[in-house]
Amino acid sequence: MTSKSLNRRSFVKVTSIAGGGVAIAMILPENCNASLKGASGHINEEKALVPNAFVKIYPSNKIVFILDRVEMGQGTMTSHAQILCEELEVEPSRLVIELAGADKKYSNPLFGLQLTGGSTSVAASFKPLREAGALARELMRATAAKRWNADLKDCIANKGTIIHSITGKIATYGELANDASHIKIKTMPELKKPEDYKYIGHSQRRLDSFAKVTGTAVFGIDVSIPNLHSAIVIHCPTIGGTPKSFNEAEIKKIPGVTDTLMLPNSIVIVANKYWQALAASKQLKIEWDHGPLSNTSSESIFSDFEKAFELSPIKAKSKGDLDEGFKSAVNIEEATYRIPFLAHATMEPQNCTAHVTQHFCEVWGPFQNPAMVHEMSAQTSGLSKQHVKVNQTLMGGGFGRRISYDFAVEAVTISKMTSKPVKVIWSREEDMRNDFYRPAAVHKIKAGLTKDGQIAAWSHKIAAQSLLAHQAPAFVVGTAPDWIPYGVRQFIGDNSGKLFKNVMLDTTVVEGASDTPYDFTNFKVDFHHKEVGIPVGFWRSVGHSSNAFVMETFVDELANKAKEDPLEFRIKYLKKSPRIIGVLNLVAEKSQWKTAAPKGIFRGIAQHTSFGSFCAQVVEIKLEKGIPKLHRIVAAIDCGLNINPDLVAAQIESSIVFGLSAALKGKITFEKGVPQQTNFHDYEVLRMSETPKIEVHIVQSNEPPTGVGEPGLPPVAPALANAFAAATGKRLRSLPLQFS
Amino acid sequence: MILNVNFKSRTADVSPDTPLLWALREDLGLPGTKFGCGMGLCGACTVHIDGVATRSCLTPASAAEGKKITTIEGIGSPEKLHPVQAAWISENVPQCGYCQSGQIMCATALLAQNPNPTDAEIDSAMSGNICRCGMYQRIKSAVHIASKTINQK
Repeated sequence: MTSKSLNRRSFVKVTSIAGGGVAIAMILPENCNASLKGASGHINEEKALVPNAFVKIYPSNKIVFILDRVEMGQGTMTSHAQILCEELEVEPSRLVIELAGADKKYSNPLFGLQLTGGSTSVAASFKPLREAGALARELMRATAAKRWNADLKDCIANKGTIIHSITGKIATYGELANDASHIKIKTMPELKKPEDYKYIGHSQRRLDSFAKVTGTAVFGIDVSIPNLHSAIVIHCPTIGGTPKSFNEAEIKKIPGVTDTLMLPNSIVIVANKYWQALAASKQLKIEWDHGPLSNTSSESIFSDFEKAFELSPIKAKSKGDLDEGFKSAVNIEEATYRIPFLAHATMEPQNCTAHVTQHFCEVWGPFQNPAMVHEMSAQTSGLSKQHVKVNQTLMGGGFGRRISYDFAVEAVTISKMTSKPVKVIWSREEDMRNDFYRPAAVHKIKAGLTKDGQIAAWSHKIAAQSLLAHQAPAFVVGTAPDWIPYGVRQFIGDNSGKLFKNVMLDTTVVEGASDTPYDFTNFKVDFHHKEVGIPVGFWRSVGHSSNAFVMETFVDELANKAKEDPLEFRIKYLKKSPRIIGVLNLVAEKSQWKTAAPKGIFRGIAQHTSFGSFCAQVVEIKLEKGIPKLHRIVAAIDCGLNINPDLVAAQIESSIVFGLSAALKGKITFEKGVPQQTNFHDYEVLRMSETPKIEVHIVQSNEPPTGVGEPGLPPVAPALANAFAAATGKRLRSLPLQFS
Repeated sequence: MILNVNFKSRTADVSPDTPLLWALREDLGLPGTKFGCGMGLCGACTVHIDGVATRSCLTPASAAEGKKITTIEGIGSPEKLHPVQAAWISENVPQCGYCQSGQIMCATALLAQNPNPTDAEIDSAMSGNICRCGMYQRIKSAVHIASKTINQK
């Protein structure tokens, strides 16, 4: 048995780095059913034709698609297969899909980093995947034309074969694969027009369902490798605290325990099996140094935010003349809003498997940000990046939590220090208390109405932490070229984080507020930065999740004051954004907004533009003893071209339920620096019995495809609060909504 | 310890207080049953014990000795899916899919007991199972479809 403590200096070493990557094979049988093979990590020995980074064609006629955006439920495995197949001319259901490991060639072009997030997956892959498919298809056609000495124009691609239209000769892609390696396609073929699409735009059933309903899908927590040990990590309950000592000798005597470690912020128990480690963890007696946040509470945080309004802000947007606007107003309305911290609470708790030897480091897990896992695994193991392999698994929910990679660094550290292959699985309690939370905030809005009910001035001030001050350093490290030494990248990254505290605008704080489509004449948005030390990160829809609530409830309130219909009032200020008017009108039509609601039903409306998409929702409630019961939610979404309408609908349904959990229940609070919520009894989420009927209406469009995984979330909380106001006259200005 | 899992007698080398969940996942090679909360709050670990939907994270392995344990791996075969699994595919129920083993085990237990559940009965039986991706509407609809399939047989 070993026990070592680790100091931060040895934790982060500076080495040079280079590329490397691998995939986990996932077999999709031809009958549309997906079964996922174990995490062996290696593709079979057949020699495949590799036309590009996304496609491999085997002589056996197996056609592999390497998926670069991780499947975390949002449907990339299906939508991206459809996009590729549109040009490849192969049925999506017969692809074998592998998840790309960390490799710069799979960088998300919108981030310059291999990252799945920001509702970018379809937008970022729409063109490259069609091009990848088209190039591979042309290679097959050209190969067949040469083999048959035929005209290229007579060689037709269809369902994974090339057919010679004159003679009827046919060859599968597999049969052509060997010859194709001698042929080059020199120009990018013209891509299909939307009217010719046969896979894009169709509700192809999910390709990952079979594995997910048979228990054969491999998530991070399911990774199995020889001699695998389990590690339990007990972090200091106080954020930023460190362990001083623990009853090491006693713990080491417990059957199954092989190692104990003291890390900078935690005690680790490694055992042969998870249960042994968990049982041993119940016997831990740890003395903590509670660190710098031990006087921090939710009360102190919100009080700090209130005080931050007295400090000079970072200007986010200024238009017209606010003072003049207020002078022309006869009615000035002001409101203060409070937004809580939120946990992600992914169903699959954070976990990672690592095996570090003297010469190699291999990592397996569910990563939204495999590039940073690769980078940090190299730094942590002390190996160069070409000696580090990052394997991607399926993911039991991401919602932004797995853009951070703290759990991966932990697994690599533990494996290195114990010289064992180790799987770290966080308990639900550790997961909830060691999150990168959705930032809390205080918002102050002031608006002036003229005597004819026009919005003459709009001032929106936000006091909060900067999310990017916490998260930007990693992005800088991850996107900077490899030839810049890690230490230099880290230095630049840390300084970029500091910039967001006083100089640079953190756009994630004001998104949806400073760039609102509302065309107010005199308009100002300010950010009052206040660092309070809570780790914050990207939470589904990020700043939009707060800003839409504040803006859309306040606009609704102003519509009431102006004695106008909330829909018509909004449309007056949205004239420059026809697509948002489009979804407002669509949701109004489908919810029968313009006819009186049935007796006892009250409606609220909200709209929001985020991640390039336009979403409007109507929430219908009934009151039972003054408490709203959700009756129906109608949503309209314009996300440009729909790749798979049923998956779009599913994402909107998902976002609405996620948003309702936050609106009705979600809050992480702090006492003495300790997050007070630990599991689903005190951090409740919506259950089936509380979920109303949700109708999703999708705008048919040939505009470029935009985000789908997040834009459905922002409108739901304000639409619900507006429905409650319609029912009771009460305006709720804090989340979660307190009805009584 | 001898456990009867998916119609087979299996030997698990675990202490009696080991939760059935971890005996299944680590000792018996059945990782389809998932760990979600460890407190019986989320339903991801649901299995059947003598046909009753049970939270395996709270059930000591010893309490399941001598009883019939069924996991997600045991309710259908790739060639012949359980009607609930088939309905889950046709309704595009799974998103991340992590909770779905537990959801399906809960739904199959419900339908075995009550082949024609109403919406309210489905709510009541299924509300212990969290789906963080929020696919409750589709789960409910898939349970009704599976119910029809079962009743047609």
